[in-house]
Amino acid sequence: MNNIKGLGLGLRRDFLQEIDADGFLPDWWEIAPENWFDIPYHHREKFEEIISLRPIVAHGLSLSIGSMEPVDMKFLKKMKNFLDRYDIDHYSDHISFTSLMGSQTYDLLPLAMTKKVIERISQKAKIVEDILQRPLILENATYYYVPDSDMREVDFINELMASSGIGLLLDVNNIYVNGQNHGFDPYKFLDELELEHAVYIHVAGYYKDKELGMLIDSHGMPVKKEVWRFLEETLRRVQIPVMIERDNNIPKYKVMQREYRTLEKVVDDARA
Amino acid sequence: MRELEEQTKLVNIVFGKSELPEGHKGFKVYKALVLHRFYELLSNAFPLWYEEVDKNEFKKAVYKFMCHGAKSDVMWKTPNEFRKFISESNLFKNTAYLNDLLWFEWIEVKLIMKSQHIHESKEFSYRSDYILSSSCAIKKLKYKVFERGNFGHSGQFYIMAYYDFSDYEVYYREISELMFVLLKEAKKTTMKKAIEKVAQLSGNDSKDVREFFKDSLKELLDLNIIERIKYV
Repeated sequence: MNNIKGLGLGLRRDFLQEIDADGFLPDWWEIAPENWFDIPYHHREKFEEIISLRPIVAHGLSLSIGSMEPVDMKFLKKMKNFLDRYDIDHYSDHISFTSLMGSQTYDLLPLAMTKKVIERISQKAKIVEDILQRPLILENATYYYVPDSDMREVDFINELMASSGIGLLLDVNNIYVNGQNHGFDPYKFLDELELEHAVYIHVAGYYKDKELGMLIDSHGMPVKKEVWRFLEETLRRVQIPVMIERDNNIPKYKVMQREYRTLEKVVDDARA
Repeated sequence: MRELEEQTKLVNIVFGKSELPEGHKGFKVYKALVLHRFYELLSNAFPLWYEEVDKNEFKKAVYKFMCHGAKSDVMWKTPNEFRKFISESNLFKNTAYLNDLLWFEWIEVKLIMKSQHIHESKEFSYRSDYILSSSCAIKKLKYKVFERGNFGHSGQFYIMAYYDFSDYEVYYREISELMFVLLKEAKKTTMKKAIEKVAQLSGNDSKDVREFFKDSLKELLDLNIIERIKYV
């Protein structure tokens, strides 16, 4: 990852019009490309102004790389047009599946952690990279149960990254949430994770579903203290860009700015 | 292949095709998350209908639609798939005006969300030719779904919906049958041909039809509802 440095923020339509090009801007932006394939007239000018001021990375939702089905070529061509149009070098999605038999779920569903799935993702990743002409980056996702699997998550990710050459988008909130929900120590997980594959870091918020007794990776809350602490520990081990991800319940831009300042402090403390 | 079986099992559960296994927290979470995505998207896209529909029936329709399959990789287009699904299904057959209402609500989403371009504005002249812009949609409705509280009132209503580039809103206007025919033809061919067609259908001279529509077409050009054809 050579064109982003420092700290990033997810660019969301909800606060796009609040951004002052001469005011606060993060070091770089992350956008969800599917949300910008069609740009409402109202937002086009502002969007193009804002993204011209800082480096951009694209973090997708609909690749469905983990589904046991072929890659959707039509979708990939649309994605390539978008990435080319805005000159975006870096494209990521999730270690999950979102569609099956052509039907969308619009959510990130969990994968069986098996060698067969690693093989399948690796094959599909090659096609994705050939078509997009960019390296693929995949994010470690949350899962609320473990599908019939042969491997621990950390082994699954390490082997996937090593065998496919894919970069890792390291989501520290997801590691924390998975650790709490599935009874493992996120710090030990970090000890075992091969961090040389990590390209950049996501930090986000979660909430606790009291009825189910589970943490839900909602991306709709401020980052929790325990996740900031976990991020700080991660940053002591790896020197890569980091960003705040917020997809739901999106606050005013000035609120995101405050959270960004917290991120700056955490990064400074970790790297002091 | 067990991996595919696992994925199919989960998808069948979240779409309501298979029963939720008793006490399985993980499946329960995914079922709730996926339903929430669809339910929120569709209830927001069709607020007028959602206000009056029985919420249990709406939820059942959402599940049936999920089973039927949403194909679009961009979520904003999904309400149109849902609209077509409802129209082709046997659901809500007692709500005669539903197809019209769902079109009426969907067209607002479509005109706002799709990429629109403002066209070069020059004074209207019959020396130029025009087509209907993609920032406008027209429809003949059987029900007065554009009037709250009067959705069931039947008749023939000609509606024009257009995106207003000055305030970024979608506006609706009831238009005459003659204007509807003119714009419908202009969408298929060009304004010059549309005027000939209207003249032929109405038994009037083309010159009279041109004169009759001149001021209206000037306004439509100002609003970007029609656009000048550029000949290369």
